[in-house]
Amino acid sequence: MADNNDKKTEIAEGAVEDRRYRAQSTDEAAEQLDRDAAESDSGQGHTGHDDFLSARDARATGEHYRMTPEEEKSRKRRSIAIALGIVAFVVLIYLITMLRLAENVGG
Amino acid sequence: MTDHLTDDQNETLAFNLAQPGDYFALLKPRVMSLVIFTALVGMVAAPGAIDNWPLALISLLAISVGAGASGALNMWWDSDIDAVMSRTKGRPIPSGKVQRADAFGFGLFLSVLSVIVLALAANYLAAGLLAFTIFFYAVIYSMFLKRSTPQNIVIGGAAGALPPVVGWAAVTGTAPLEAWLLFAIIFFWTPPHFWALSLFKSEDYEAAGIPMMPNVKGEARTKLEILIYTVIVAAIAITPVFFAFASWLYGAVAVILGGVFLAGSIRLYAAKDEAATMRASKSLFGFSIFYLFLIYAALLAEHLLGLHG
Repeated sequence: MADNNDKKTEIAEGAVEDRRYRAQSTDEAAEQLDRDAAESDSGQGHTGHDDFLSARDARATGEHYRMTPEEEKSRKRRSIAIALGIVAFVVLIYLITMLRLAENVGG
Repeated sequence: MTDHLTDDQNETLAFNLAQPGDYFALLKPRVMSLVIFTALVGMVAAPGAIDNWPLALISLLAISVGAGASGALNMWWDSDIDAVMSRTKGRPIPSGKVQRADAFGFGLFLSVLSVIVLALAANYLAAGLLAFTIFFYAVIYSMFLKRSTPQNIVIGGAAGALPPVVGWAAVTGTAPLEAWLLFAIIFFWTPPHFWALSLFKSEDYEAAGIPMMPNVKGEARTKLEILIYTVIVAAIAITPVFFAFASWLYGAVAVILGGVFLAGSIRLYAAKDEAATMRASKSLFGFSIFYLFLIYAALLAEHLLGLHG
């Protein structure tokens, strides 16, 4: 149990670090990583990209990951595409059912 | 992306920027359009008029999505070599737009969905053939053949040749010899088409470690095999006339196109220096696409216009 709590704390700390890398864009995140790696090499600061945890790790701890506007826009577009795909699938199945029924009724 | 990050970290950075268009690109739209075309010819060339066009079109959609799904699975598996080759490094995974795992999930999901929809809209034979096509391309060709033998595209070509049989089966519920003739045309067309490409892209394939014929057996042997396969495909393309599902008009088109294809292969075979080989292989590659399109278009036109028989 204690081990579990330690692990959670460790992941949560990592997630907080992760947010630093998720500043405004992937380029800024990469620059931040470069700076951290340089600090780490000179013996200052934290340990560079070893601390990098993915957004998925952050979600597992209940931590919130703040997306950039660009990422939010991309997610919205993907969500719309998924929604349209589901609607198209439902319409397709409905059509197949009706056409098959019509075939059978028509003999 | 950033050089000092691991692949997983780079993938995480790119994760939230993927657009729907990047996922569509995973489906290899150009290959999909060829599959739609050849499957349509299979449907139209099958005996008896298509009595339910809406269901036939839904079946065609399912076949094209299935082909696209196998393309996504291929991109998932081959992302490492795609990143090395100039022709493929702009694809969604090597360019960092889509994660490998997401491409895998997307491909697998669409594979299952397309087979189910085809089973509902057409029949189990067509659905089974589509499932086999996806399996053959993603597993047999991509995972086993592509990196292990110079015969990769010969055997793997079966996956690309199956769509007209799937189309035929979708509207008739059967897959007779005539449908397999349509299969054979694409199957024997594939080696000269891809080997012509690999002759002028051999450095790419060499860098990626793919054992294509020119890298393994050399240019001379490749040219000879291209010539042999061209003779075979030119001969097979005429056979629909003898099986009574194409008229003499189609036969004339097939003979003329086969002759031009053969002339291109002979020119490539006779090319002595590097520059002449490059020119002849590029020209043959371009014509091979035109050849397949016209052969199938001739069959399609004959059946749509009622000229055959």
